[in-house]
Amino acid sequence: MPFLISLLAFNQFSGDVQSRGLRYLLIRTERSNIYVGRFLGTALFSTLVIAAIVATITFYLGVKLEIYSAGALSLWGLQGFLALSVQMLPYIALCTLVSAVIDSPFLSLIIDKLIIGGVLLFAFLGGLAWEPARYLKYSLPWGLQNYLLHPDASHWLGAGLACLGYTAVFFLLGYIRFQRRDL
Amino acid sequence: MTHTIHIKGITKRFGRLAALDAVSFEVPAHSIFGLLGPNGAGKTTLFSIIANFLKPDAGDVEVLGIDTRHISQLQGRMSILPQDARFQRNVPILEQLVFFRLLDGQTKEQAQTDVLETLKLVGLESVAKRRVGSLSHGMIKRLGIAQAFLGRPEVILLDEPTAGLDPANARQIRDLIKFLQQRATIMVSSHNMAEIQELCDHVAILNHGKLVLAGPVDAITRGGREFQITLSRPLQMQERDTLQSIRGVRQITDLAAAVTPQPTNPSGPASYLVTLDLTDETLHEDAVLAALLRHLLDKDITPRKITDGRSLETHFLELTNSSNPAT
Repeated sequence: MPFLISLLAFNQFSGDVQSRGLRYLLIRTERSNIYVGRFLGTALFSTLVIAAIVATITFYLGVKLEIYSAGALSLWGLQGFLALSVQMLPYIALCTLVSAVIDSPFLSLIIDKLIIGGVLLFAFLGGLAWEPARYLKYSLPWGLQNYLLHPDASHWLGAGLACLGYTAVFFLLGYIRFQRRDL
Repeated sequence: MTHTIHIKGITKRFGRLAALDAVSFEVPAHSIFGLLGPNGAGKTTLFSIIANFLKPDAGDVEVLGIDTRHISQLQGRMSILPQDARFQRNVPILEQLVFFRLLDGQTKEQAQTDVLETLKLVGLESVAKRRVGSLSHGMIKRLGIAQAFLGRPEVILLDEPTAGLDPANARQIRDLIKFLQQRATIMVSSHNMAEIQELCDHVAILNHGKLVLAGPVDAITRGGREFQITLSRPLQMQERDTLQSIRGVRQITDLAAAVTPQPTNPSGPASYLVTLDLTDETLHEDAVLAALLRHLLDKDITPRKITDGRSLETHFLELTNSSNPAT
């Protein structure tokens, strides 16, 4: 999912900064409106994509596996959709931050992929050599996001709040950079 | 005289390069103000700082009494034609401009009417529903100008508005700028010195990020206005002294003598550089020239040709120590 999100969210500002097309908007509205608007637009679009994916999977399982009732499958699909919707937010915010810093859309995408994949890879490989290195995965929601599907409410609620916390941090760092930088 | 734009000590560095170094000047209300300078002088950087695209390292810019750090307070009151900014290629131009007007707070109907009127002004009404990707370079330039003219902005910044336009379109845009001067203060940068001299009443010249001169075009060119004049025969020394004694005439130089020490052909035509000094504001260029011509005709010397010599371009080249006109 994080890799898919980076594909949907990598070019929130980079392309428009590179082409200077953003300047037509900057003279007409606040930077904060552009920043928040692009984040919300990306989050909304990503939510729709996730909804379509989950609906397709749920429908496919309903057709192939006749052991579950339609109600049970719909509930499973809804739970998955909500979990993924919360899980995607920190990754979108991370892409927002990277896009606010990097002017090239291609470079922005590469860096998104390197951060998202690199954190997991370094945590895994580093953890083999030196145990505390595995905690590196907590610099992104990798270590918590599985709890979003946990049956215990305290677990999924905690994971959900943590995802919102990551989102807030990345979003604010990007916001500060976008406000201060040359466009 | 009231001023619409106050630029106070603007400094901007890109790494070690000082793109602008403590630049300060003011732009009078309802003037067409030309910004000149060679490549890399800092013109586009200055435009970008005024529009708050770039953050200055030091200094302030006030437009209509508002610090441009609070650019949203100027929404709908200031517009800009940014250099090299691209529109969305696959969206019809009408939709893009209507969206800009919606951001300015108009209703969709008002926005559509306003956009169509503006597109008509720049001769693009027939392509309103086409996508930007299908337009020529000149049309895209005019589209950029149209977005800058949308609504009734009180301040319009135009970064090289006629670059890339054919002469007819460039003339149309210059006429439009002159027309809009009635209701707006307009700041223009241009490649074309003659255009700036024709269009602007005030100029500022930048060189290597520093302001070298700012003021009314008239005042800048008055101190050393020059004409090249070709006469039916060479002037005698005494005749030249008489002409030089006319009020407003500073000097008369034999152009042939400046090139070769050989004496001028005593019977053939001869060319002279006439330098006027119009620093006394009661003197008018035409009146001084008329007096000069009267003296010549009284002596049976026929002027064959008079051409403009010194111009804003000459001043620009002197001030920037450049052999190439501004870019």
